[in-house]
Order: sequence, then C-alpha cells, then structure tokens
Amino acid sequence: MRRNCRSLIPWGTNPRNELEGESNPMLVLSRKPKESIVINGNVTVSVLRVDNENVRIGIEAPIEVPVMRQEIYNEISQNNQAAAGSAEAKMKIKQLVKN
Amino acid sequence: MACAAYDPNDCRAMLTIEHTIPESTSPSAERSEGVPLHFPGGLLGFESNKQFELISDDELKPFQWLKGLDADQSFLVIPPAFVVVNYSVEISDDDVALLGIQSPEDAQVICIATYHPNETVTVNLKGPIIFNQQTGKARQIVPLNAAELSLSHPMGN
Repeated sequence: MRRNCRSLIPWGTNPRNELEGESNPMLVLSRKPKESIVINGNVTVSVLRVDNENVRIGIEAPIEVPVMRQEIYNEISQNNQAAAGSAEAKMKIKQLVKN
Repeated sequence: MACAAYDPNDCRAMLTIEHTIPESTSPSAERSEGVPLHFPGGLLGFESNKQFELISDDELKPFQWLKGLDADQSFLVIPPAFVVVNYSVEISDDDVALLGIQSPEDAQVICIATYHPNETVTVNLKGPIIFNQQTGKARQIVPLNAAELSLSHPMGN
C-alpha cells in the first residue's frame, strides 16, 4: 500500500513482491471485531471474530480478484515458477515423451 | 460483491468436475494452431501474463504446451485424467461465475507439469487451470477440495 502513514514498515509480506525481490511498505492498523478495512474502494476485509490465537476474517471482493491463503498462493506460485519453461524445455520434453 | 471467505467449510461447492479423458484424444490431423486462452488475472506468480495459446502437438502427447504470448514463459500442461484416476475438483461459485460456465461440459481442466533436471515430471493437481471452452476464458484456481490434492504428483511411467 503506497499510503502516507506513520506506521509504514519497509518490509512488506506481499508474496508476489517476495518472488520478484521487492516489497511494498506495510500499513499497520488496529481493528476490533466487526470493524473493517476497505482496500482500493472495492475490497472490504472485516474482522468477524477473535478467539485466542484465531482471527476470523471475511473478505468481500469482486470475483475477478483472486483471494486465497498466503501459504497456498506461495506454494502454487513457486510451483509455477519452477514449471515455467521456454521452447528449449519443450524440445527436451519431446525427447522424454519419445523414450 | 461476492463473499470470498476461502474456508472450504464456508463455501458451497456449486460445481464438481469429474475429469475424464476427452473423446477426441486422437484427432485425425495434428492441430498446429493453438486454442487461445485468456487469463484475466494471469497465472499465480505470473499475474501480468494473461494471453496464452494451448497447443496440441502429437510429439508431446499426452502433454500439451501452454504458450505464453505476453512473455517467453510457457508451460507444459496435461489433462489430469492422464495422471490420476477419479480426479475431481470442486469449483467455487465465484470461479464458475467468472469463467461464465453454464454447464460442466463447458469446463475443461488442465494441470501444469514440471520437468525436473533429473528427467522426472510432476503434475500440480492442487492448482489446476479451468477454462471455458466456449469462450477461452481461463483461471488457475484453488479448488475447494485443494487440501486433498497434491501439488507435485509424480508422473507414472
């Protein structure tokens, strides 16, 4: 989030930026249950319930905005990084399929 | 605004796709031109890569080549029915709506395969690509039943 905010922390945890070796500053703020945060005017993140270490979060977003747990995003995007190939890789696979 | 609380217990599975091997696995002639696929959100980790072409090539069978048109980043893909039996993915209402899927026949499933330096191939069953074969609209989804699916399923010989 590129916002002017007193509590900007220079290391974000945006997984996409982690992969690309850059990071967005982290905006830190406190919310109580039933309070929300609006992102970009079309995404609302609400704290539904807090018990012990579990925070129940509700996300309202347009369907074209992918929303998922970070661990899942990380594992699938890392898998995609490893899978991405060029025309050269295609030739190798053709050899493999032939054998 | 759709609720996207991605907890499998919170979301109803509107559509379950049981994937079977497509009837037309042996087309009479090699199809040289690809099927254009548009990923409005890109692939996970490759959000800016939105235009792809799915190329069927006899020499690659049963794999296909998902050729990136925005960048030289292409992917080896395979219909999951060639990898495991009884593969089924539960797709959220949101994904069904985004892809404009009217009936299960509209939806095609392919999975990304990874070619490893030791010449083995693993297949990502956990984050499959679903596309609407009527429109070419595609998305790499996290199925509601992702927890029971493998990220790197070894390809049998």
